[in-house]
Amino acid sequence: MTDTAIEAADLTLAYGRRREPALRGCSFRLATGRVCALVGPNGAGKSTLLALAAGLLRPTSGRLAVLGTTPAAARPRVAYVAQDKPLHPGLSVAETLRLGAELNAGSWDAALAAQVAADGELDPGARVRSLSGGQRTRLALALALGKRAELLLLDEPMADLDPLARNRLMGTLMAEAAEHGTTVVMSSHIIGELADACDHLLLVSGGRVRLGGGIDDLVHAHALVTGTGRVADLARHTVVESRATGRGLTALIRTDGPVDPAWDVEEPSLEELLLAHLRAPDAPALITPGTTPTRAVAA
Amino acid sequence: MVEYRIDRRSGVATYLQIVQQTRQALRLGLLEPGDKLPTAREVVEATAVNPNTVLKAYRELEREGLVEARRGLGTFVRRSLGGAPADTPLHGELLEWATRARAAGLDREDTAALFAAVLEEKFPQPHAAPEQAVPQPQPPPERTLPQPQSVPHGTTTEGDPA
Amino acid sequence: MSAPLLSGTRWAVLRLHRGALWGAAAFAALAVLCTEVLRRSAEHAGAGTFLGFSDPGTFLGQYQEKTTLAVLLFPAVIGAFVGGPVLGRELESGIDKFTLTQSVTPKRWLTARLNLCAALAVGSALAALVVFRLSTSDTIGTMTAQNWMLRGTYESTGPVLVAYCLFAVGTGALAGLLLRRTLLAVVAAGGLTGALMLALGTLRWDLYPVATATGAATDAANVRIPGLPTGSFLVENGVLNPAGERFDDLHCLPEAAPGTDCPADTRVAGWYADYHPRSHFWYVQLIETGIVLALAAAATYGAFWILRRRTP
Repeated sequence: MTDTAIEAADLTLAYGRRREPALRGCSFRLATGRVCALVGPNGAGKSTLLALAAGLLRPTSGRLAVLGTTPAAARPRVAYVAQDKPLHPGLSVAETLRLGAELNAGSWDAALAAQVAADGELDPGARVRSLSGGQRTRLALALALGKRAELLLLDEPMADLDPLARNRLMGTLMAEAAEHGTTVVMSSHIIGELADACDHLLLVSGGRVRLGGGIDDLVHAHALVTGTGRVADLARHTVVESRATGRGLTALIRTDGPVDPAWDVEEPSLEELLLAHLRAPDAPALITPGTTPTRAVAA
Repeated sequence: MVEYRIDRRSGVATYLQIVQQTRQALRLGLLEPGDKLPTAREVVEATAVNPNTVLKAYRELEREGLVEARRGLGTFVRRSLGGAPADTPLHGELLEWATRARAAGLDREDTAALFAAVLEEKFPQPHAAPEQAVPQPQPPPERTLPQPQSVPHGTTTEGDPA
Repeated sequence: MSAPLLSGTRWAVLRLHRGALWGAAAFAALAVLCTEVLRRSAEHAGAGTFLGFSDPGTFLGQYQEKTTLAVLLFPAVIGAFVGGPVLGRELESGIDKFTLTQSVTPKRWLTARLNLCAALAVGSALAALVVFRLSTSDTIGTMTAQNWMLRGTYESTGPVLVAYCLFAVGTGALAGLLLRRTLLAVVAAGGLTGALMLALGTLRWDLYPVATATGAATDAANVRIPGLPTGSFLVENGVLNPAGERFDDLHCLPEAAPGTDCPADTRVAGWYADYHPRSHFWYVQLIETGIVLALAAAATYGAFWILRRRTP
């Protein structure tokens, strides 16, 4: 057993030789038992990162270990739900669940998969092509949960769901994580839907990891300061973003030691933190200790 | 059994909402010593919050000596709070006072403001210093599940005579 | 304990392509039934016109010729099926993102599907062989015996049909995985299979040395080839000069036509005939089967190679 769910070292993926790489030089570590939000704007590389961890793509360079082994070897212990929730349109709900059982014979939990599907009031005889987006998502998640994986990789899992369904499905996922210690990685470009459920964050933009670590640690490491001073007065800290407000300025800083009491200090909200980093692409990345790769990554 | 309601726009940290609601239930006598709190699984299934948040709240309650985790069994209430159960004589007196306030022509907000002022006078709140701005990133809290109920992954049952 | 027959990937593949399999089975049953009914009624019909043909024999001859030509389409259809509906469609629609992340490895999953397709292809090819070789004594059998070297008859009465079907499965897999588009893979796999059959159809009689018959003749007008063995396939014939050099009497006599290569001495001293006796059918079939099977193996290997390169 390993305490590391995903460990990436200088991970790079380019879809073609001439195209800009979708991921460039990503290094981070995610411990097991975490519920991680993978956040970033559209096209940031979130889906690519998940597909690499799911063993669907080969990295162009760099290394990636999943559950202490290669993504391919980890396949039976990892469940992945792609963004468009691909399922065979001609199969019925019951047959789709049977397909999950037949293709994951070693670990399949038929009762759980059936329960998740039944909670969404899916008619077992209905064809997949007749399902709504939300029902399809639920069926895809039923398959993922039925696999009883140690690591769940969910690409935009809540995008098609109404608020009630979103809440119930998230509850099911969290119960799964609580009971079995399942590691969950969920991507989204909206942080709001993930903020309560996640304890870990990876902010990706432009193919790079900008922020990585426990959400509390990341928030505590920053401060929102307002005052009449100048940016130069904050030089000992890392200024992520600053804006003029009236005669003074408001800045989001990464604190290094105590802040001059002349400044009014507030703790930023998670959303403020993310937006500031997205608006300031040149701000240095922060990957908190314990989140940086620590040891050699399996090939 | 208590049910927690998480208000996402209250600005109060989620774990603190769980702590406060538990204290409130203890104060009102909805929970008494020996009662079992819902498991982390039950709470997160109903509220869709992160399991670690619930565990953090339970640890806080345990630190305050209000509850105790019994290995493999769950989290149980150790003592009640405030000695102000719903049927205390104080409740009757407060009810009487509120009736008089209403008769005196005070509306809801006036009454609440008055009560809050008295509360502030008799129980001055030591204003918590604003969250310090320069904490070092702490090692993330370990998730220790209070009650492992299932067989962990990877456990084989090959040697099982059954 | 062995797993039940219908479980795991086997169940999955059968279920996913249930429609196509039922369709193919129904078509095959209908074709056999149709053939049998027509054959029986033609055999028992008296002289005179039959279904608009001058007599039942003519009808059966035509029927045999056209159906064996239709059988030539069969491997191409198999290739198109494997490339398109089985693999191309899944890659095009992105369902591979579901399939390739289950506990079953991508390699096992591709193997399971190709196994089923191969079993289906070989099974139906063998069925077709049986139908065409059935009762060699009646009219269809006689036609088959006489026309063994003809395109269509040749392929549908020997093991090459099985080999072509396997080649189609491998090519379909390669095309589907490489192109990742249903329609493109259908065209490519069907086209490649058809092209190979066409190419080998023109090359196959050079794969095995011909038998040659020679004899003496006094002059060009007197050349008469005595009977070659029954059912022989005459590939080429001509005359020999006294030195034993071959030339074409039609082009070189009485004088060399422009642009033809004739020996200086064009006196006719004998004749020759290159031909494949009936027995060569099996040699050519086996050589061609070997070549096609080797190509099928190469295509299948290529498909697995692409899969391995693409998914870790």
